Amino acid sequence: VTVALTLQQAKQRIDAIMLKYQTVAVGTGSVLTGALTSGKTYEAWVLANVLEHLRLHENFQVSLVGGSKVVLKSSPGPINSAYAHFVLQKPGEPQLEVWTDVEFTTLSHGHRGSPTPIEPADRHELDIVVVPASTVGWPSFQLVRLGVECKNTSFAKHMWRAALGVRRELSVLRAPISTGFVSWPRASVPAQPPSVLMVFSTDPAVTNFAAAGSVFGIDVVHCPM
Amino acid sequence: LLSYLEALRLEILLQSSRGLRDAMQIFASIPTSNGEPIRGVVVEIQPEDERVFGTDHIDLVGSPQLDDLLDEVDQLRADVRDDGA
Repeated sequence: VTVALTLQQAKQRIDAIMLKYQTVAVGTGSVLTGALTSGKTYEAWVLANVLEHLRLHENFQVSLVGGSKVVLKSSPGPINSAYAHFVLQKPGEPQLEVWTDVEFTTLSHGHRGSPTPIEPADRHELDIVVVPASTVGWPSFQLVRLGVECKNTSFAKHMWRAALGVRRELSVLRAPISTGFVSWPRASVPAQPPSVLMVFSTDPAVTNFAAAGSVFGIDVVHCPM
Repeated sequence: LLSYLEALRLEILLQSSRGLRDAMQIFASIPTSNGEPIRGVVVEIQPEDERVFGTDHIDLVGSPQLDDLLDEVDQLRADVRDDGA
């Protein structure tokens, strides 16, 4: 005999789940720690996917150097050579490196003659960044080969506006130019310098922005867990 | 209701040990310069954040207890779907 689940029963089961969740979450750390680890777990998932695609579709040999743990950071900053990071190698091509939670210096900063002191608007974060090997400090927008943003919540419109801002500070709109990648993430991009910018999200709504993104060279990827 | 449960599932998944499992499977195939396999994922707490988090690093391991809770959420989602609730 099938007994239909009433809304009231569903609510009771949700309440019971929430109670257990709160008990476990409080036992394992603060709300702030939980929020941080959730975001970083998704970042790790996206990083793994990006590396896998670069290995499979671009034939890069991927390796981790500088340690045996993947390192993510609580806040963005410069490339810190003390941290472990991934190296991408392909015969006959310059070596690339993959870093996480790095701020690049912006196109607008460069156009103003790279003045100091640096203002908050002169650097923007990328969750994952691919740059030429041996890049140090805050990479210039000119050095970014691939930048990735990771969003593990509902994809809100302000996130898209932020992606547009990052795109603008990485490059100017141009007829498509070769990215240096064969096919993944893309062979060409309508941007100079020809960096690739990708937005990964757990929310399928991110694909609502794909058409607009195609104009400026922003790739959106629905990447559930 | 299903949308809510999907969001709840994701929140729990991201803090469960299952949340990192698939990423670690991919990382396991990547060699390291010291010859060891990749042993995990760590969040380095930057100096400006240390006071907030009370530590200089967090190993992402997730909670096995939340894996069980994830099963409960999945069962409830299945029941709601079956009933068209």
